[in-house]
Amino acid sequence: MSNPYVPYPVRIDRIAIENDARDLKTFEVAFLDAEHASAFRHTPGQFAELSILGTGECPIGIASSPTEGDSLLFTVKKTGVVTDELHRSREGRVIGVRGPLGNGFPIERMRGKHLVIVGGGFAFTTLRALIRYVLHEEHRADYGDVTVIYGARTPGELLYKAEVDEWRARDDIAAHITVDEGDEAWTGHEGFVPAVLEEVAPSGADAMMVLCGPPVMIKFTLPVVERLGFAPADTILSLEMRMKCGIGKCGRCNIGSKYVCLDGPVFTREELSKLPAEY
Amino acid sequence: MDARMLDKADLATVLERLAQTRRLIAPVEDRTGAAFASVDEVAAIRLDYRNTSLSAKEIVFPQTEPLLVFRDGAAEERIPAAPGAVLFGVRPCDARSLTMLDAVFRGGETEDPYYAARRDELTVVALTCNEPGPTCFCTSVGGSPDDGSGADVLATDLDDGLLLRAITDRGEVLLGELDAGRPAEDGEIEAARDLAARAAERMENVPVPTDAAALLATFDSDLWSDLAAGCIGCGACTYACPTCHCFDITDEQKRGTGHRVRSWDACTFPPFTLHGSGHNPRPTATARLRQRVLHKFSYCPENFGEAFCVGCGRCVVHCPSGIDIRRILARLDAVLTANSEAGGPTR
Amino acid sequence: MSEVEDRLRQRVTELLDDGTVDLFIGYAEADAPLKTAVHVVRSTTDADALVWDARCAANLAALLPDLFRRPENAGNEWAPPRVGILAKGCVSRSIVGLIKAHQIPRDALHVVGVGCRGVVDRHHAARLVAPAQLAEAEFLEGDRLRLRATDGTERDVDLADVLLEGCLVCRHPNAVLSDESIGDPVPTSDRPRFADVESFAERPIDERWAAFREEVSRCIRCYACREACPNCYCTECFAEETAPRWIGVTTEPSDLMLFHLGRAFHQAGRCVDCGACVSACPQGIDLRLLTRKVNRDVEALFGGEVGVSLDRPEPLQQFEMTDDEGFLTEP
Repeated sequence: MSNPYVPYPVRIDRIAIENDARDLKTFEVAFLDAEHASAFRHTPGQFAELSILGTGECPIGIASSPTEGDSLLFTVKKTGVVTDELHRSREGRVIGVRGPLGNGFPIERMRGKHLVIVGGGFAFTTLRALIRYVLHEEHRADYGDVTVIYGARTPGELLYKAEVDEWRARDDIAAHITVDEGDEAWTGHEGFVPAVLEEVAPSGADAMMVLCGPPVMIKFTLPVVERLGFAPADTILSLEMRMKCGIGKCGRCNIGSKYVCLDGPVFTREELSKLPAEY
Repeated sequence: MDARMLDKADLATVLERLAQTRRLIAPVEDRTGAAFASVDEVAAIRLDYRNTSLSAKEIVFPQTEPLLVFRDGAAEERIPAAPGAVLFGVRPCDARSLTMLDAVFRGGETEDPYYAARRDELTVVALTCNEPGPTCFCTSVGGSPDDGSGADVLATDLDDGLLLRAITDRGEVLLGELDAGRPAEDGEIEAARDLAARAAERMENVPVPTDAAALLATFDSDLWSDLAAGCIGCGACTYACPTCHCFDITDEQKRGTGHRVRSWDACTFPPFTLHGSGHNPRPTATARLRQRVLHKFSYCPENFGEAFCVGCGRCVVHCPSGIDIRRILARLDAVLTANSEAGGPTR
Repeated sequence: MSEVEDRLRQRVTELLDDGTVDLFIGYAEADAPLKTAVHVVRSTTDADALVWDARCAANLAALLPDLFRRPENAGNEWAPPRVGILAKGCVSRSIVGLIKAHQIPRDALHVVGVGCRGVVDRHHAARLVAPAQLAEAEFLEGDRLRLRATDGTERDVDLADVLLEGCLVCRHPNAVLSDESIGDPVPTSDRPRFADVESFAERPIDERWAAFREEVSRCIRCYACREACPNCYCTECFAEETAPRWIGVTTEPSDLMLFHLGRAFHQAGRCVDCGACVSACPQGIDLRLLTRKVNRDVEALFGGEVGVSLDRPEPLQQFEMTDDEGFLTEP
């Protein structure tokens, strides 16, 4: 068995600045070793530990779908020591990736269901992976209607703007994009995510809800989710925790008896209801 | 399996011979009383100790250990070389704790190669207890003064002799290597069992709640802030504990070369769960003490089938605030018993 | 139970009953030899558990800053509690220091002073019975202590031979700040205060460096010393900061030495030599090795003792134009 603490070396091929505040960047990385690329088979929703030797590691959701080839996308917010160093990096730099880690979205259980994907702020990253996966020609027929509701504070803070525009133009996905406060050029919704969800009102029947966002958004969206009839077992959330090993040994990321790096980061509302509210 | 009786007068010679081919780790006198050390001078070994101040876990899980070494952007693993060490004279509680650390580091989907390297080559000779220590309660948490879990050989002090009983194949190999003493008599083995049984009888009985779900149900109870009232948030309990295994991973570097190391960490420390955003899911000493206790007595039983406590009582000895896990458990047990009698949820 | 204990329990009951305090911090029995537990009394029924003797090692003032920190989710109705505390001399000096550092409010405190005849050093006792463990300790008449070990041996020692070293030279056994006192005042020591610092200073520098390295090499970074100390109230310790990263979190020699050097220097002008750190350390490290020197230097350079009066600024809380600046140019 290979050493789970040794990162795969990857080269940063492309860096895209995602937002006006310039604190969100998407890094496209390529494995230096083809064997590593084949070994790294991930599911949307999983994460990886990004490693910068001499600085440290941080757990980041994988923003690309496994259908997008061997390169990986990570959208990273500049928050602390490691993400700072990452943001200072230039294309061509070699960093490390450990993973894939965590449990990913339940894409098997989601087959045959309508999907409602709701995201806020920069928590949208792994939802991109899920949407790309579901929209892929090999998978689209496995799923029912796909509704996306994605909100950010201002138009400048929206991630993946070009892609999102493409989704709005497609007819196999209903993409509702909203901002808390628009500008003159803005043509989408204006309003908080829970309000837009209420307006769009997708039914919970034969459907699953995937919800990622900051705690305050989750707090106000869940009652709407309930009213629309989504069962707790069909309401899917992704959590964040401070992590180190990412493989369930260092003891840091537990919520009750579950480790967010192993049993999560994806949990259903039903699973969370059995855990102490310590996150 | 092989059982031999070794004359105490011959013990030093036997151990000296062993020390020539194996790395011998044994209890020696220390500023805190006793501690485990790699022994060159067999004369330093003190089997007349009760228990060490810190546990033996450092041997398989060092406080600081390099995981990777890196130079100019390339990293290499640093798996420790662990040439067949013999941990001689550890107490059964500490030997048993190794099985719990095994479950964490070697269980699940990934094995920790650093732990495995140290553990794989380790032969454990556990010295059974003829009397309990001042804070011992192993019998209340599923252990005993002559428990063999985690041990390869059980050694018992029978006054003029040391009884050595192999209980695993690896133990047999060691006894073969020692090639000392004479076959043990049934009466001697019986005497060893008696000593352990009498030690167990004299040990304090601590009521330990074993219903993991019922324990979890106390999560929101006011009881926890009471129990945590004196906790100052150090890691003395965690670091002295044989089964605590949390660790941090940090990078240390100087001009392009360096190490990624792991070092002990504790859920009792305030920044243990501190997010980069500043959010802390466990912002109070109450939340952290509750985590420590529930992890050991609710979450680990759920995940591994047993409480992560071997009843050594070191946390009791070292807590600067005198917080006592035995009293915490008794209080929890009382609350759970009262609740189940009343048939209602925990308050 | 002693007279002092009796009086203490009575007073605490009264203080709770008449609403002078919401809670009282003292010591209670612990089920381990030579140990007491920190005891937070919130109801009068708990007052009977209070004890006071030479096992009371913790510096209770360490609990105060957190009690007065506004909790994260506190609403407007949160008010700091009225806290009673049992204060031997060093604890009262720590309280003075915390008040002067604006960490705790004087008017929310009710200090019950008590004279202290010294605290037993649990590590010294452990060394006397090593490699066996201490099974029981019993105070005897004539300031003696009976130690029973797990190997069945028993020895009687003079208390003075097993007290914390700081207690042996203590100049403030009685509270310097109190709202009331119980028990009789205790005479101060007249032993030379810094004999240990002077004799260490006489050793060659290489030896001193080796001794320091050796002493801290046993450290396991449990931070018991730090948390037991009332002066360590920083919400983020320099030892754990990541931006910037001052020192590593490991037990590599450089990390250990820098941690202890940092700790010692951060004590300058604040350490009251209570020895709580020494008692707390699971490894029996001589944590006073550096702080004693720092304490002496602060007194010599800037005059005045730490934590003895609310009316004067602490030595490092003020400056005079005549202050010695030799440290800048003559290391």
